[in-house]
Amino acid sequence: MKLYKIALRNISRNKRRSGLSAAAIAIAAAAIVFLFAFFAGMLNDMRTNMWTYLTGAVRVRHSDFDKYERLNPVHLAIPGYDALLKDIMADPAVRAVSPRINFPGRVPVGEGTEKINVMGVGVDFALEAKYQDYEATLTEGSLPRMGTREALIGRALAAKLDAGIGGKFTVLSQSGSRGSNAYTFTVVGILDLPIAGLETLMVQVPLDTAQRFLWLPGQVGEILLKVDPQVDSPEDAALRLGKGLKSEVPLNVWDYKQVNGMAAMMDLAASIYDITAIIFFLLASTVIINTTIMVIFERMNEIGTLAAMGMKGSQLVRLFFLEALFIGIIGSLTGIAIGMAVAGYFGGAGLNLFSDAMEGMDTMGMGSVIYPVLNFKSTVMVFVYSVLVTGLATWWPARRAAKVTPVEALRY
Amino acid sequence: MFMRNLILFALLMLAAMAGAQSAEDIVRELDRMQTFDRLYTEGTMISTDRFGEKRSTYRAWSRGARDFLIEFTNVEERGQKVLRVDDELYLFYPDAEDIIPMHGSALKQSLFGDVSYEDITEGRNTLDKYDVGLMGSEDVKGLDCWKIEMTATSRDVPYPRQVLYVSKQDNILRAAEYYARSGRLLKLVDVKKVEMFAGGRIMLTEVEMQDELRRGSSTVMRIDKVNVEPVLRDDLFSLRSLY
Repeated sequence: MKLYKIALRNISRNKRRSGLSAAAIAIAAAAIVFLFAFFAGMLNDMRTNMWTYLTGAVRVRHSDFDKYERLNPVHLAIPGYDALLKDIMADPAVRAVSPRINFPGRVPVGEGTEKINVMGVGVDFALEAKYQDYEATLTEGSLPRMGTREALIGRALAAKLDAGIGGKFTVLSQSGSRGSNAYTFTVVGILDLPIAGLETLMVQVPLDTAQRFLWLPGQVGEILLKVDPQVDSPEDAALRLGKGLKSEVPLNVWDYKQVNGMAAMMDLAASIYDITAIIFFLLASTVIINTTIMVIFERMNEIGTLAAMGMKGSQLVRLFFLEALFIGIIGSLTGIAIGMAVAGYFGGAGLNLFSDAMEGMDTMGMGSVIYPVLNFKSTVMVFVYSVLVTGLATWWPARRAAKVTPVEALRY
Repeated sequence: MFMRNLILFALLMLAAMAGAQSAEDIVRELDRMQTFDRLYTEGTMISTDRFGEKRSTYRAWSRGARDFLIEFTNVEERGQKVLRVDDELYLFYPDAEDIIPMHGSALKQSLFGDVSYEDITEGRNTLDKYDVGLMGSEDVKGLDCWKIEMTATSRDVPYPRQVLYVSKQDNILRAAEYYARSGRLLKLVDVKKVEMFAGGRIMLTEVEMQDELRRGSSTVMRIDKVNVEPVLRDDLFSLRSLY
């Protein structure tokens, strides 16, 4: 009889033992698949939020703005941005653009004794609807009409200002004329933003209104771009646009990694996640190895009988290797299927682990709800690794068992 | 001979009396000279910093030492007003439905360049808020000046310590230094121009202020037009008049 048939028969003969072994492997594989998907989701979330709300994949600014950013030099804006937008949109890698004016401001509340800090953003809502996912974030009300003093505000900010739809608030800010100005806005929409920190600050108003408010006619503070990584990387797109864009003022065309330390934090976070995943991998490996070794030592009597019947040592090793391989394949496939199902479910529904814990914290661009993202490469790697570890784990105990004489084996 | 000695004695007495003028007297006289029952001015503020020059024009009204209203008239800030009344400060912006009261640390924010809100709206009555002392004499741009130290008696003042340089010749402020409680120099004031108006009233018509915390910046406040004792509306210094 061929060895693989004996191996399959052995597996089916003791279903409980085989099932337990396969279950241990399946649980380990499922946990690792989910963990990889969860970490990928966290990184994906951080990158998406950074690109959408903070840095873009590529950001275009007046070069002196970056130099004097701590002084809030609103007047260092980009004139003639319409022509720039056309050039930017013509780039094959660019998928969406967001011309903006950012204006930190203060909103007096009550008798004016308290002032709440806000981060105002003037945006072109026609372009912005393609740049931000308003379908997900605009949970109440509607988008402001251009040319009006209508505004979207974060839900947490709305609570702080005690202003719902139709409510009014006045923002005091530094203007592009290097003086100050104040405008009263009406709330027409509430945003449920993925970053808790932003939700307490964010005010979005029409770009043309912001230009009048801040005395920046025909100007924007920055242009954020999203690029298609399948076409080109943000780094290369920034380099290409930096060489091609022409403006009255010197421009900094930076990819998101150049913009601030957030991208470096993302790289660091990715490394930490990889290390964490490896540790989980090793822990899962010990479970697989332990289960496999226990199974072999448990079957010493059987080994002795097989040896007494004339089975050679190398045949015994191969037999146990094949058994482990089959159980490993079944366990890994089952585990990966479970892991994928769980990750897939939360990938759609989201995993809300942090919203309360992270309230008011700087979450470094990470949202409070994580959507795990399955990665084909890492899933295949988990399968190969699980099967390999299971197979290799049989090698040493099977070789040892094969060297034991039938008499000794039967004494176990 | 007797008459000559008498005149000499009288002159010596007058000189001694002048020399014995106390710091309180000098500051009281400063307050008196800078306080008008009613005053209307038009002027220009020019701020220079690393980003270049910014120029704003304004018109201002004051009544006594406590009521003050300034309205910007340049294109960018046209219609913006700052009102001080009953020791409270209010900001009015034409496009805002609310009047914004300013309190506490917000008063330290820049109104224009190196000039903060509290700089332009601080009332007189200096002796109520500061202990003053004569530190001696010092030459300021060729003028012999009293050097007067003022130490705040309450926390309700913009600068806990000030040093004033007041011309002995005409009792007019020529320069000032403003310090933090820690002793750090915060602002320098340099009086560039002084003019006499109808009724013999003397005014500082060009003053330069430097915020020592803003490197390389300075702000000149220049008065271009003065009307002493103008007719003012009764409700001019009220919130209602801002709209």
